[in-house]
Amino acid sequence: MTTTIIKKEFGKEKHIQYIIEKGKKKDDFEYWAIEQQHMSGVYWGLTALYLLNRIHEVEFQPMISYVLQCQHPNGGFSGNVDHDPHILYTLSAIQVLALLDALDRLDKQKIANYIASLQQPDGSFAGDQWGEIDTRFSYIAISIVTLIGKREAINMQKAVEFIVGCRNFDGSFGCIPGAESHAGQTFCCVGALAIAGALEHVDHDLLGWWLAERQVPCGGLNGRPEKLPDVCYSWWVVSSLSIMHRLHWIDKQKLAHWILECQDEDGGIADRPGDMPDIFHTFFGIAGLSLLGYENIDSIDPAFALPVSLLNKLSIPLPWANNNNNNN
Amino acid sequence: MEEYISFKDREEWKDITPISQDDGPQPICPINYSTKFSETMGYFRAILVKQEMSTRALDLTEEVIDLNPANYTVWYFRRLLLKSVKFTINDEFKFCEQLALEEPKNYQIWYHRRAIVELSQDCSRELDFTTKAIQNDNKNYHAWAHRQWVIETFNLWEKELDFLESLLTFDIRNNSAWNHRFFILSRNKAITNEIRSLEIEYTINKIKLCASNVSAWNYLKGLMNGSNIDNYPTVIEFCDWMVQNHPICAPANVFKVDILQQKILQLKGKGQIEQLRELVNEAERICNNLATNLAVKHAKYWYYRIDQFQKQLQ
Repeated sequence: MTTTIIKKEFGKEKHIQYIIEKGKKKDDFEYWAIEQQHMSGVYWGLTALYLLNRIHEVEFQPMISYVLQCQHPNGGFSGNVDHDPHILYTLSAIQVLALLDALDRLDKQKIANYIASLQQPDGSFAGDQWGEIDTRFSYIAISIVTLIGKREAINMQKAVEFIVGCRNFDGSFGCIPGAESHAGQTFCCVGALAIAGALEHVDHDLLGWWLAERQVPCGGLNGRPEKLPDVCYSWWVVSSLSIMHRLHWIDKQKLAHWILECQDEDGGIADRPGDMPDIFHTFFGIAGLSLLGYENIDSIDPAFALPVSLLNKLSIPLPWANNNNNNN
Repeated sequence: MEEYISFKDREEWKDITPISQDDGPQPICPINYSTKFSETMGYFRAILVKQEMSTRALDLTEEVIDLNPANYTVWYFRRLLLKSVKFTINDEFKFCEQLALEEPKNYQIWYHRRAIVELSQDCSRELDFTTKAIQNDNKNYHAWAHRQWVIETFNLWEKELDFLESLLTFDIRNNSAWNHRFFILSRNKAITNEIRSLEIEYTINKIKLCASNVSAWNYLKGLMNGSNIDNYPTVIEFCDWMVQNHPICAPANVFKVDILQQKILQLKGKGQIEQLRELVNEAERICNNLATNLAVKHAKYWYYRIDQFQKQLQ
C-alpha cells in the first residue's frame, strides 16, 4: 500500500516566535497552571532556542538573576520564586545557567551537599525533603553532580544498584522496583547509567528491541505497549536508542515526518497532530528532530539533554557519542 | 458550587496583608494570572511567610490546591499543617481521592495520598481507591505504582489475581495489568516451577484469544526468563503451532526466534555442527520473513539478529 507523503517543512521561524512571543503574552489562561514549574519551562524554551541558534534573542543577565533568586539556603532551587526547593528544578536551574554561560555563579559545594542529602540508604534519591522516590530523581542527581564536577558527593555505586533494581525482565525500567516498564523512566535510567559509566547493566539488544517496538504504524512513538504515540517520546525513546547506538532500529524518516505533522501552523509543537502546542512538546519535538539529524538543528546530547557544543565547551566527557552514531 | 467571596471581603482574613507575586524580569515564559488566582496566592504567600499553623491556613491550602493542584509548595505546607492542626483523617482521604480522580496524572496528589497513608498507617481504603482510578484509566501509571506500594507495604497480596482477571477480561491488551500480574507473582514469593506451569497455561489461553497481544507474549517471555526452555515443551509446541497456523502473527515469529536462540546457545561448543547449522538456518529464515514482510519497519533490527546468528557458526 502506498501513501502520498506530503512533505512537511520544519517551521523554524514560527517556533522561535512561538517560544519568545508566547512568553511575552500575559493574558493566556493556561500559563498560571504551570507557574510552579517555571524553571523547567525556561530550560525547555532556552534549549530549543540554543539548538535553533537563536539563544541571543533572550537577555542573559535578568534571566541569570531570576534563576539565582530561586536558590534556597540548602542549595536546592525551586520551580519559581515563593516555592520550596526540589531536585527537578535544581537540575533545570543548573541547565539554564549552563546555557547562559553562568555556571561560575553557582556555589557548587552547596548544591552537592543538597543532592547528597537526598540520597537514601538503598541508593535511591528523594525529590525533596518529603521523600518521594523515583528513578527520575536518580538521573537528575547523577546528572547534576557531573555537570558541576562533584561526582564524589554521592555514592555512585549504590545509586547504580538502585537503578538496576528497577530493571524489568523486558530490559526496560520503571520508576521504582517492580513498576511497569516506561519509556520516560527508561530514558532516566539509561541516561543515568551512561553518565555514571555503568552501561554494562543495560542489555542493549533486549532494551533496544523494546524501544524499537514503541514505534506505531503512523511513525510516532509511544511510551508503553498499546498506548498512543506522543511527541515527547521522540525524546525519551530516541535518546535511549542513541546512547545504545541502536537508533537505526526505528524508521527515522517516518518518525521525523510524524513529528513535523505535530507542528501547529502558528508555531509550536503539540503532543499529537491537531492538538494544541505547548512549550514542553515544542522542546521535545525539536530535541527529537535534533537526534534524528534533522537539518539546521544543532546536535543535542542524548544523556544530558543539553547541546553537544555546550557540553564540549564545559569539557564534559560524552563517551557514548561517536562520529558515526546511528547512521544508516 | 459556592460563589467566590473575595478575600478582602472575608472577616476572618482582615488581619492579613497579601503578598504579590514577583515574577522576576521579563522572562521567556512568564505567567498570566486571573484575579481570583492572584488574590488567593497573595494570601497564601502571606501565610507561608508567617509559617502560620492554623485551621484557616489549612482551609486556604485547599483553595490554592483547587486552583492549581500541581503547586507542590502548597502540598508541602499542607503536610506541615496536618502535623500541627486538628483534622479528620477520613476527610483528608476523601479530599485526596476526589482530586486524584479529577487529575489522575498529577504527581503531587498521588504522593500526598501515600503520605497520609504513611501518617495514619491506614491502608483500608487504598485498594478500592486505586480500583476506581484504574477503572477510569486502566493504564494510569500512578495508580498502579501506588497500588503496588500499598500491597507490598501492607501485605495485601491475597485478592490481586482475581482483580487482575476482571481487568484482563475487560481489556486483554492492558500492559499495566500484565505487569501487575508479574509483580504479584514475582515479588510476593519466588516463581516456583508449579506456579510457572500454571501461568504458562493461563497465558497461552489468553494469547489464543488475541494472538497479536504483545503484552501477553512479553509476559510469557518473562515467565521463561532464567529457565531452560526444554523443560517446558508446551511452550515450544504452542509457539510452533502458532507459527504454522498463524504465519503472519509477528509476535509468534518473534517468540520462535528467541526459542531458537536459546537452543542454539545450548548447542554451541558441543560439536553438533549440522544440528547447529539447521537451527541457525531456521532462525535466519524467520528473521528474514520478519524483516521483509511481518515487521518491515524493524528490518534493521532483524538483519542485526541474522548477523548475530551467523556469528554462532564461526
